[in-house]
Amino acid sequence: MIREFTLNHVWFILAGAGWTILLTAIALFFGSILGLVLAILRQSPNAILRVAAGSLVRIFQGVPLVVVIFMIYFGIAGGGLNVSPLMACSIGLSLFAGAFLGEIWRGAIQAIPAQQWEAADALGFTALERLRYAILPQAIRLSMPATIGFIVQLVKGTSVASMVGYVELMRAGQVVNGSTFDSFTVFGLVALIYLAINLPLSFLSKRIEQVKL
Amino acid sequence: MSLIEIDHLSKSYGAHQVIKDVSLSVEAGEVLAVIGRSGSGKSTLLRCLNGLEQINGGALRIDGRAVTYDKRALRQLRKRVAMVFQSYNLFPHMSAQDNVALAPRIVGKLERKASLDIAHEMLGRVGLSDKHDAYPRDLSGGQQQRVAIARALAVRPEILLLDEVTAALDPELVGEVLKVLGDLASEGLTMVLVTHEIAFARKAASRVAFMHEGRVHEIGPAQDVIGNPQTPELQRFLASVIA
Ligand SMILES: Nc1ncnc2c1ncn2[C@@H]1O[C@H](COP(=O)(O)OP(=O)(O)O)[C@@H](O)[C@H]1O
Ligand SMILES: [Mg+2]
Repeated sequence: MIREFTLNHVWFILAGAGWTILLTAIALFFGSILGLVLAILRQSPNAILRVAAGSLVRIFQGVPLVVVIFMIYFGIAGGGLNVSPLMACSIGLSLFAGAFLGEIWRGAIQAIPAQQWEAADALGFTALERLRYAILPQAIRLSMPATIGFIVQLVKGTSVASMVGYVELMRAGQVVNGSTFDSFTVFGLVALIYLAINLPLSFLSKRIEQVKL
Repeated sequence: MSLIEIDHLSKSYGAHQVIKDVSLSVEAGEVLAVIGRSGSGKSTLLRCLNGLEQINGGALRIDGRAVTYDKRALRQLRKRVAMVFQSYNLFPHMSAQDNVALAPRIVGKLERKASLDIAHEMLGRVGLSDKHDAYPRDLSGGQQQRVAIARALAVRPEILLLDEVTAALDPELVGEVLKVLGDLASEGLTMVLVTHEIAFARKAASRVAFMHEGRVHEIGPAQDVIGNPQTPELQRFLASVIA
């Protein structure tokens, strides 16, 4: 039976958008922590830590996100553990975000001039104090445009969650489309909502680029 | 016992020996100016004194204690031996007072309030009491360098190292920085300063060392070394910088 596209469908899609934002927020939170750790480890004087962190980054940058999420969702479930779609997607997206943010931030840390590192050394700072007070604040600012650009990718990347049945924005669109078959309206609305989430981020990025350090 | 004792010091980068068997000492309250051509090893010698570079041979003692390179020793060393760089190297994301207060707070473990009091005191000493909240980008080169001097003084070091601190400045800004250094010298702060300001070295330094190809080629009272150079190398160098 084909139904009319109603306000209820709009609400359903908007609720999906809420889950998209939630998933993005989760991935951003855990991905930032992981990314910061990876970025710092990649400057470590210890070669093993450096190589390990670099490998992790390359793996999660090189393997499609959907494969990672399938491995977690179906792979671990196949191993007898019960993993919810939200859990699988959160883990997969966090690893994905961690790898990309780690790489962005590593580049920004390395872009801070050697004289800044030396100034901190000359004041008697330890390696961690040097990062915390002198280098990271500058690196994070420097990386803002790229970081926000990645968050836009992440918002879009959450649509992969639809493939394990997690009802975020994309999946909500598919569900509504399945009953109304009004694909143009449904996915047009979905597209508009993705844009509405991402456009402010792009504007923010432009603004930040104009702020001088 | 001298405050700084440099004893047959050598330093190499790979196969390239940059400091060759340098021995000299600096007494407390003394100002030693180090002059010499670019590449003669002045910066390297200075950087050895606060452990930014590790020495390869000889010995280096500050206040009788040999310089070592474990974390804790380096932190102690850098509280006693502060450094100011040619390019100021202020932290661009912090105001002048935060730049100066940072080391007292982090390294000196003071409360924020106490560290700011020190910052205000030090900014006053360099004549920048009206610039507490200014960011480095809003300050002239001369003002930035004075903030950098205040930052170095904020840990109350016994020795201040200065590496061509006026070399990056527009000529009309050099004077304000030299004045601060002159004041510090007359207050009795021990300083080792690498400089191309020969007239200033002659006036403010107690002694001058002329470095040439990694060695201290001449050293003595400022008046003698600059006024009456003994070797053709120093004569040529002075002729080239004064001309
Ligand atoms: N980090 C470094 N690695 C390799 N060579 C260096 C390094 N720093 C300085 N040098 C070399 O050491 C020599 C002395 O340099 P420096 O101490 O900076 O001289 P100065 O300050 O008198 O100009 C130069 O030949 C320079 O190229
Ligand atoms: Mg130099």
